[in-house]
Amino acid sequence: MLNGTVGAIEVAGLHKRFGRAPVLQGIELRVAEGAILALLGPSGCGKTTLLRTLAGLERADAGTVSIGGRPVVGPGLDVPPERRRVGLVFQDWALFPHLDVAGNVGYGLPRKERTADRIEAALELVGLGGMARRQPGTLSGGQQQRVALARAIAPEPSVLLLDEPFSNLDTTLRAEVRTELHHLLVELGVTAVFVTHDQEEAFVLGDEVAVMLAGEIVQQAPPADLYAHPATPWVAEFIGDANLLPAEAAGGSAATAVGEVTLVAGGSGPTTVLLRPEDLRLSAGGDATVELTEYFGHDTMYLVRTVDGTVVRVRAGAAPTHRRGDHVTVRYDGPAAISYTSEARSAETPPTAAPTLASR
Amino acid sequence: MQIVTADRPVDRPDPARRARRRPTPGLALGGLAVAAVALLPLAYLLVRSSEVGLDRALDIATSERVRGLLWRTGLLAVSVTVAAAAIAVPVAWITVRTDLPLRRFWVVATALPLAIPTYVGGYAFVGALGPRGILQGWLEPLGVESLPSLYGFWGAWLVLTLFTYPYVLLTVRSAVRGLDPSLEEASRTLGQGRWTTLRRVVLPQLRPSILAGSLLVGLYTLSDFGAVSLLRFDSFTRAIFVQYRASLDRSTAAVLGLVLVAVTLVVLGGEFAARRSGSYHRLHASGARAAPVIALGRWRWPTFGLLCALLTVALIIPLAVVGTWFLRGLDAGEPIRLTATLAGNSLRAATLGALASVAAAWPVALLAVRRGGRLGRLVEGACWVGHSLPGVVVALALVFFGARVAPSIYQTHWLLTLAYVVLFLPQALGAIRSSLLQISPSLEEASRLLGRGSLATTFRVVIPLARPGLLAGGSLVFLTCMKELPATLLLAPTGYPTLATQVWSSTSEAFFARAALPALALVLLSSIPMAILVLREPDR
Repeated sequence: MLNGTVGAIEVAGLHKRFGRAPVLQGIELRVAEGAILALLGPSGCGKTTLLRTLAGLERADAGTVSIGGRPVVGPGLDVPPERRRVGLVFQDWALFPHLDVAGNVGYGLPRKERTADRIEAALELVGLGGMARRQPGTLSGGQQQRVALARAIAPEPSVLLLDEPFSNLDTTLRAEVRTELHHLLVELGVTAVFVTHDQEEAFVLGDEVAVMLAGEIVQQAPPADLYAHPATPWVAEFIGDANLLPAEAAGGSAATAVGEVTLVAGGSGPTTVLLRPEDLRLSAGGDATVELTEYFGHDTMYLVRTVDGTVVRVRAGAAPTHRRGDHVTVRYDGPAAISYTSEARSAETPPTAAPTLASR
Repeated sequence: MQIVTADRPVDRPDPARRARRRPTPGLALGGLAVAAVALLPLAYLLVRSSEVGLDRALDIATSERVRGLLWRTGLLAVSVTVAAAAIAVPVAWITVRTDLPLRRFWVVATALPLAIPTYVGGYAFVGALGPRGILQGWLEPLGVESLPSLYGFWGAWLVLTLFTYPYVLLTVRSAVRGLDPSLEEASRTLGQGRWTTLRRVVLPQLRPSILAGSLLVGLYTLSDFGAVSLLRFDSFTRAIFVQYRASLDRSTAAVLGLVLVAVTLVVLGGEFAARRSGSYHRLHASGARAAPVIALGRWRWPTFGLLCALLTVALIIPLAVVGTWFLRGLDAGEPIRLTATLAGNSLRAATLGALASVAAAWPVALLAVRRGGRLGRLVEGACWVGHSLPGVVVALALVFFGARVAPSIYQTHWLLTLAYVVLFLPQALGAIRSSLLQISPSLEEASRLLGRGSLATTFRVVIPLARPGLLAGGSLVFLTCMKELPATLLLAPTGYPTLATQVWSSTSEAFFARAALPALALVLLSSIPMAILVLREPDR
């Protein structure tokens, strides 16, 4: 769709500190040509700083960045933002209030190419045909975002960066806009990196997801791999509901509060086992107690206290069949489970964003 | 690809719209009375001019003399405005955004020339470079008999520019602080360099504030009386004053006054149109991120040097000149006691002006904020009309009014206070209005539900909460009254000289030493609140 070249992004050993506080600590990242990468992390992990460093708005202290095979950051090298051919959609969209929609979209085009046709074409692309003469302030939030997107892609950048693209939208609008953006990115075939703190957004849009914590990329993988094989307990909890149960490993399996579970990697001694709520099953009768029932429409989440006092989350894809106070039995019915040695678990600080009862 | 989205316009609640009720009769009457007072000078000027007959009035208004005055005054206003903006816009940007050495100091220092009334600036200028001035005194032993004349256009231009550019500086600086840095970053990622970004994004964003500040300077220049008359530049205000003083034909002065009012209205109208066509508001509240500090690099110290030069010309030299004359005056035995009397007179007149303005602004602010509607807008608009009139014109109109209609208050403090209210009420209004806007109407409603009547609620809830605004508005008017010259000159009771009138009259007669102490006292009294005002600005 875009005539310009689409470029891969390669980042190695990127460091950045603000004053004394380290923000990026040796970032390693690779985005293939035409791929969409989600940078997922809790607030303050440095993901926006990384994005701004890619755009050239922050200066890295060390490390290299190349975009489309061309080095833009390196020892003694810092290509200014205007010469990086990078499009950035700002979190607050940063539309120029003194220009109308056409003025905004045409802003980055060379004077000769700044024609009404070219601008209208970019607006058509985002579904805003005929809006060229409107003032940005008269548009709705969703429309403003699309103007910002049209403005960023009009000069045909080799990569497109998006900073929290949905955070300024009503929750009711988000899913809709997300699908539109997904369509558009796929159609453009542009290399895109977007920042989000929302696991669902990252999974839905990203060909790959890079999870960031405290200035480092903890894990980069396609969403399904990431979900199935999180590198650390922290990642496991951050990207979805997780029961992290203390267990005693012996050979190829481990003894947990919900019974014997087969492990991916064998071992022996104390360990922590990751059991996703949707892999647990409930049946009536037994010595575990249902503490809470949370009905979501498409499924139901049960909080169940086992006989040794551990609370586990169990997801069932139907209307509630067990009620608070019911006695039940919990068993594991999933693939071989991931386990973490206790050192790995204590090395990570659990996120405040997504605590589960099971981890307490 | 088809994109369909349910779009809803972003709507923002308007806090002022709440609790809008019909005004009580007392409040409406009070507001209307204040509006009538504010419009009185203009109305009386019309009455007085009409006495000469329409033909004669048109003859005067289109005479060669008036055309010359218009041309000269207009040229001065435009040149001063352009020069003030040319100084203020770069200074505003540099003092907020860059790594200028001693930046915090410069934020305050560059605004301080505003504390020097233009006639004091004119006095310093004449006292240094004029005949019998300091420089002449130094050169005389060397055989230089006379210096090239500094009187006229260029002297007036220089003095007015140096002491009014802070008006633009202060408005533009707050706009620079409000700039959203992500707009500049967006421009950079769209392939535009630093200078292009400055031209295509930053300057257009600052345009409304540059216009607003320039308007203040332009209107000030049109209405300035002290500096132009000390520098003998034949401008409109000086012509009106001379016409009034020198001849018995006061109707001609009234017609001249009306012409000046017309010019003022044209300028205001132009600014209004420009503001409407260029109206744009911020799309989002600015993020928490502060704008990055721009490194000046090798321009750091040259910029510092330029600011030092500006400060020297606009603040240090004027103060040094006045200081020198003060010391000479001490040697020659100028009486200091007299200055104490003058200061007392100034303080008394300014206190009356401030109290009366606050009292008059209160019902207007209440009407405008709490009751809104057409009446509120009407009354508020009337108050601004008075404020936009040049001081000479208001004074002249009140002289006519006092002499003919109300001889009992003519030549008393009442008339002078009335002039101050007409001229400066909007300054109090602005401060009171914004503090009233911050008081939630539900507080008043709570008080009423707890059994307090309207009056008790006003005294026990509204006034205590609005106190910061009342104090700020009152002190602002007080300060302006202290510095005011033309109305004080024309309306103060006989034998009631103030600091301002003393500086003016002594300087006009080249008694420079006699003007020194009053001038110093004025600058000192004005600069303390000025510094506090500037220091309260946010940093970046």
